[in-house]
Amino acid sequence: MPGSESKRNIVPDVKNQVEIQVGLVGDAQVGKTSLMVKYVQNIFDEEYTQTLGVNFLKRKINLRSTDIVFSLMDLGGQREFINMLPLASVGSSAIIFLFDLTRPETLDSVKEWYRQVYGLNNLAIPILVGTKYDLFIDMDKEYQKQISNTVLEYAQVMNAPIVFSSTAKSINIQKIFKIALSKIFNLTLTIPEITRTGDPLLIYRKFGNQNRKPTKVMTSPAFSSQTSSTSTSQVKAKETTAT
Amino acid sequence: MTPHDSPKFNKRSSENLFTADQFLQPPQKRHSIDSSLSRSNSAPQQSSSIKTHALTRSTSPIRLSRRHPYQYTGHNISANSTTCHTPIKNNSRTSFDLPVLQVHTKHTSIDNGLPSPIPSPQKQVYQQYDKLAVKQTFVNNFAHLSLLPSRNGECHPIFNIPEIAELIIKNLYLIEVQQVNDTERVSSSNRIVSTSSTVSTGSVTPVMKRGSLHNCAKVNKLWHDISMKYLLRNLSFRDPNKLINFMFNSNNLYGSNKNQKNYPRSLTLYKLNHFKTEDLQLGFNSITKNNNTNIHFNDLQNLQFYICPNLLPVDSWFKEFRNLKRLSLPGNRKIDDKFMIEISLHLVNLEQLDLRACYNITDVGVVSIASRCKNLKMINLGRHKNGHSITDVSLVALSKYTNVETVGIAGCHVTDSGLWEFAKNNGNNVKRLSLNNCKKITNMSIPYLVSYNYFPELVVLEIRDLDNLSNLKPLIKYKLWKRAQNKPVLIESCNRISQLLKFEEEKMKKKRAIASLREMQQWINEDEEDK
Repeated sequence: MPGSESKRNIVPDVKNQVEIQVGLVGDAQVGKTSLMVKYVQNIFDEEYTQTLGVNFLKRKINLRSTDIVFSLMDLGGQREFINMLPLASVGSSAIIFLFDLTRPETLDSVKEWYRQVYGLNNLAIPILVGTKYDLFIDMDKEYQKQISNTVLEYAQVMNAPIVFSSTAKSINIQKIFKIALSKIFNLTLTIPEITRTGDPLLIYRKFGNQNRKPTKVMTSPAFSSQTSSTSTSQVKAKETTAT
Repeated sequence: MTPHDSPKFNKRSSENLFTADQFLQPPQKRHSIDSSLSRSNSAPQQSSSIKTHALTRSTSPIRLSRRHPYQYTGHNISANSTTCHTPIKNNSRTSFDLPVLQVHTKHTSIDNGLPSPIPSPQKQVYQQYDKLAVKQTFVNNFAHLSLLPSRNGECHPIFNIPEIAELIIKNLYLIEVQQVNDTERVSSSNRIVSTSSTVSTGSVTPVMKRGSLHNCAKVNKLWHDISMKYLLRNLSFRDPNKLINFMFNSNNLYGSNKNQKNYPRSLTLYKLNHFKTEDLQLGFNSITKNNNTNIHFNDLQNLQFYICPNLLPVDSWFKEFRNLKRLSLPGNRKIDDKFMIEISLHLVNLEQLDLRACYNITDVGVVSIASRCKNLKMINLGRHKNGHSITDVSLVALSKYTNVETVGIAGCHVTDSGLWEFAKNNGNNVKRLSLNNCKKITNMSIPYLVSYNYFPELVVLEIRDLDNLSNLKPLIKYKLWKRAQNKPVLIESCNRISQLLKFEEEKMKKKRAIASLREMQQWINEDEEDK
């Protein structure tokens, strides 16, 4: 820094800036905005506010030599906003498909959401998230079993990790994004899986793994030190995933 | 509201309604100047809509001057709406800022109140269209006005209004000056290319052929007089005969308006190889000693002898050239230290000094300049021969006495310790530094200087052909750090150094990528409680 001669500091190392865009899609009132606000601001509001178009929030995570910036794009669930789907999906490294665990029809429409998103961006890593787990546990055991089985089938087709979460009770919120990061950069994640029906499912090992050839870490736009939009930031790292 | 007023009201309200379309498309109606004349009577009554009026009106390429009788009275928007299309640095903002702002606020509401750190695509689109709109509308509004005589043998009367003619010509002059400066910046100045140069933002710069002003001088008497005033500001000679003609016939040539005094700002002689200093002296004496002359050199700011190896500026001139800001004498063989000492006594306001390839200049000349020209901002001493005559002495003198920003010492025998001293005294001001071919510079200076950020304002660093420089890691670190701060620095280097730089950069990026991945892996496996 300019100034007195004695106090000159050496130029610091520039932090790596990893910007990851994540899109959130799913039917109306499944809790996309709630999840995003909870993750970024740690606030949960019971009241329903309809999202008009696309909401956008960023969360920055400071590591020692790296800043991870999650840019969350939350698309309104009403059909009229489907024309804004490119905003949420193009350029996203991961897309979170949300459905309401208490409303089976929202799980059904994940098919359609997936089809639409896949048409725009077939490189993004899909993650299947069931919301409102806190309400789900009070429901009929048979229903829970049925839903869990259907979700597993969906996950297999989509090749998407499964997370059951509750924004209100803060269950598995942070883990969604950690799974996203581990899949994007092929990092080894050791969080134990939860597979028993009735528990908040967390199944990620066998889904969402990339089988493409490892690309060089250097050339990825995600690793440029500038904050730039990361278009295709699926990057293979040296560390290989446990399969 | 009386029915009498209603048509006016309708008109007013329709103009008050700003839509984006209005800026994307040219107005449907072409307003001719004549129609504006007829409407100028009702102007005071329309003062409530003055803003919108002024904005739609002020799309003229010829900016109507303030207080002009033909312009709408009752509004003062012209004060900040001057020169929207000409590259004048001070007024580069256009008068369209206001409505554009409205467009923004209207259309960014899709974020629904949430903070949006990245600009939404809509914003950029409107800004782009805005620029186009300026050009489109002014072309459409005034394209039909012609300077050529129409059927009745007269040109459009607007061109006979002296103030308008003056503005047209002034704008042409300013564009020409800008273009000359731009080409100079790229072509000369020792390949120092600006990255932070003041690019005129937001204004549409028409591409213009050189010599437009000369054509203006041929239109009619009024235009001739005005054009001459501007033509005489910048004198440039490539042909010795023309220079002689100018010097010895000055009062006949430009005597059309005896009362008008001309103060040339810039004098350029370009590659006059065989011109003699004595002739130059004689000729200019005939101008300055002549009482009838209307050319005065008191206000000269820019004196340039571009590759005139044997031509020495007359030293008696400099007593008069108190305001000289820029002196370039590249490739001059005659000029020496004695001359520099003499002129340094007079040039107190000198800002730019270009002495490239002036091999007879040594430390003595540079020190005399440095100690007396306190405002010096740019000095170029680059050379291929006689490098030993410029040493640390010059560099330290410059750093002690001046706040020089651009320093070219290519090929000089400057050492590490000199550079350290320079950086300590004056490092905070340095923006461009050229050390090409300075063979005595080693790893002991530049790498450490940059890594401790001794040059916080640095924009361009030239380190071509520094054979003793091999420690480039600090340079890369510095470059990345500057870029992350949004103050990128351009490092110009030769093949060998470029390759080393590239190699270091790749190595560093790789290392950082691996470190990042390791940290991320650690982070994702931390058992972070959901709060």
